[in-house]
Amino acid sequence: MWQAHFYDGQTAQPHTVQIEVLANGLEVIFSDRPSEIWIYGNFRQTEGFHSGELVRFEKSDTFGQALVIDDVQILEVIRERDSASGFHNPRLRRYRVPLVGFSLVSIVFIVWLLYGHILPVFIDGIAHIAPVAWEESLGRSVVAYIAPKENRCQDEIYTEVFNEIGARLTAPTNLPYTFRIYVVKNAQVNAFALPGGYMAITTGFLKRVKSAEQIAGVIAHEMQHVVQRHGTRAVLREMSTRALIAAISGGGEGLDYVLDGAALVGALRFSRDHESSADIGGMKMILDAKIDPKGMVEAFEILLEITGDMPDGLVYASTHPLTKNRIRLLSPYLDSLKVDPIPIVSDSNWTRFAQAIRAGQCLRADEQEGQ
Amino acid sequence: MAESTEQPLGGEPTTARQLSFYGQGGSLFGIHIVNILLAIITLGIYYFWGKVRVRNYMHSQTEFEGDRFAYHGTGKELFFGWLKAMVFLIVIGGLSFGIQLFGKSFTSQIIGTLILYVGILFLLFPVAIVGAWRFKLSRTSWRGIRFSFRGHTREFFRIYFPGMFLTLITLGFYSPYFEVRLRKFLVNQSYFGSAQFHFDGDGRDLFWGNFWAIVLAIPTLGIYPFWYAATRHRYFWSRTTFSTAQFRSTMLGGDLFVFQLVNGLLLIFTLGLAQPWVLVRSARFTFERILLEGDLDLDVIEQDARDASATGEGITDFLDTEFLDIDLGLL
Repeated sequence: MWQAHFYDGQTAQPHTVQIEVLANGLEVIFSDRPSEIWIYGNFRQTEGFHSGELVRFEKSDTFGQALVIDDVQILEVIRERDSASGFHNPRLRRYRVPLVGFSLVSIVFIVWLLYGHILPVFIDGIAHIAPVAWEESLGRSVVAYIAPKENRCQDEIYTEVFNEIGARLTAPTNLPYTFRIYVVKNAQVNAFALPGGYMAITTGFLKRVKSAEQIAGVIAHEMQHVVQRHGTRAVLREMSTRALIAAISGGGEGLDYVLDGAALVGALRFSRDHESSADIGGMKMILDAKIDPKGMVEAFEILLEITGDMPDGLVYASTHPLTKNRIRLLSPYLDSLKVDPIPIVSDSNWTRFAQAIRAGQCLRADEQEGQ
Repeated sequence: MAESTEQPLGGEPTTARQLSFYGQGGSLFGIHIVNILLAIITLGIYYFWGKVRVRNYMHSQTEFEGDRFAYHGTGKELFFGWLKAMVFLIVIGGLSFGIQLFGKSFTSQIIGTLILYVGILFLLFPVAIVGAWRFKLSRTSWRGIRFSFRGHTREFFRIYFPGMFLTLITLGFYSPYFEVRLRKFLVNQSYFGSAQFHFDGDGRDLFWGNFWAIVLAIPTLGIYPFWYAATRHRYFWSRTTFSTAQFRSTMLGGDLFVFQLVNGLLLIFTLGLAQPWVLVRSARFTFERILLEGDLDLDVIEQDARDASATGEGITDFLDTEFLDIDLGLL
């Protein structure tokens, strides 16, 4: 005999009833009217799966009728009388703590597997088939922040030299990208590439280089980041991380954040594998273009020198680690150019270029329009 | 905790009824963790069934006058509600991005963006507020009697559009009037069985409180608005009745501030893992501070449930399930 509350589904008046567990159902015994039988299968258990929860049975066909029993033992007795009743088995509760522990471990494992191993493969696949137009729009939306128009130097001599470098490097290739290289007035030693072919190089860097071949080495490296779609991959990866964070924190307002291109590329970092791959690919471009490969190695030596004593160099060094190793990686290629290298720019142009850089010349876009 | 010892100022003691909450953070944590695992395995689909399990637990641990509440929503309902909202969002989002992408002019950018914000703020939100409230009530019962909401979404639009508009252009200073009108509409059409809830307020009573909350929010580093939130809570409940009984809130600004601060710290320092405990704390905190006073004959209340999708409202029926987790702060 069990004591229970019976709700009739008609009024908010609870009825205290007695319950007898029978082989075919529950006998509900009222104090003021004849008892009725709840047949197993005609009612279901809706509550009473956790400690501290009361057991609640609801009739499937009659709206609102329910029985609430505050002793979970009734479930075991029902199980003894009718093992097929299918109600919750309180004995299984002792497995709950291990189950939760197992779930926790599984979640950590799955997230690690997904995020660390499956997602990168997936993202590389998407980055591989992403249309160049989309990459360009991504790069365009960010270049305005990273290399703002008012900081770009548009002096004729700079344009000329970079056009020549770009043309030489891309001539032997058949790439779907239009490379746009900006000279940015900035004392830091830095060069970067954005998805879709946007590139920038700082005047701080140009001040330290001694030949067009050295610049070509850096440009070839950055072009490889574009061609191998390292930036696009990093952006997609960052997007998926943010989507994950937004999903966990359970906010729809996270969507803006997930799609904020500027912030995405701002958070861009290439891995060392990407750097090495861009180094080797860049070196191959240099060789194909019959450019003296020494320039690229010298460019890295300049970096090494700077990271030694110049705090300015830290920016470049932090994203391009282990310059010494990179030089070692490229040295086998130094002798592989079988023909005589062809100079990129004429001596007179180089002299004009070097003088302009040393003098800190920088013609801004608005000034140019005024002329 | 079931019976309050507080007495009204002067006069005879009346019985104060209260909700009690018995849930344990630990049990809820277990439910959450298993839910997350199952949601991952089912690519997110189980999320809705998991949500139902959490609500079942929360309802079944809430007691009033010796009887527990029950939740009757199903995972399927929540899932389809979400699907409908997604269809709406994809249509609106697609329209907005399409216009921005193809018409490259500045005007088309503006129009595209406007469509997105207007669509969400002036169509999705009001439908979601009413839909969620109707769904929540119609899926909750106590002693076998269902709650229900009988307002029409059409009517809600008439309150929502001008109210939202005025609140936006007055930078929030109009919001007490808007909130009171919203609450009137939502509460006055809410029923437990055959018994009705009632709210009667005037935005004017909250105008200065809200005014100072906005003005002082930044100088007080966001602390002052907690005091206004508590004042508003007390005001709202002091104007709310159920059948013949009167609600009263004892919430204080300081309590609310400390409570929210602890919640925030708990979530931050456990990277969100403490969420189940925050949920339990929130239920306790709120239930402890809402009293229902006065004579109340519960025995005469009869079943009078309306199905959430049987209100005969045409097109808005389509969206009449809960698809956004909007906390109305009504309970």
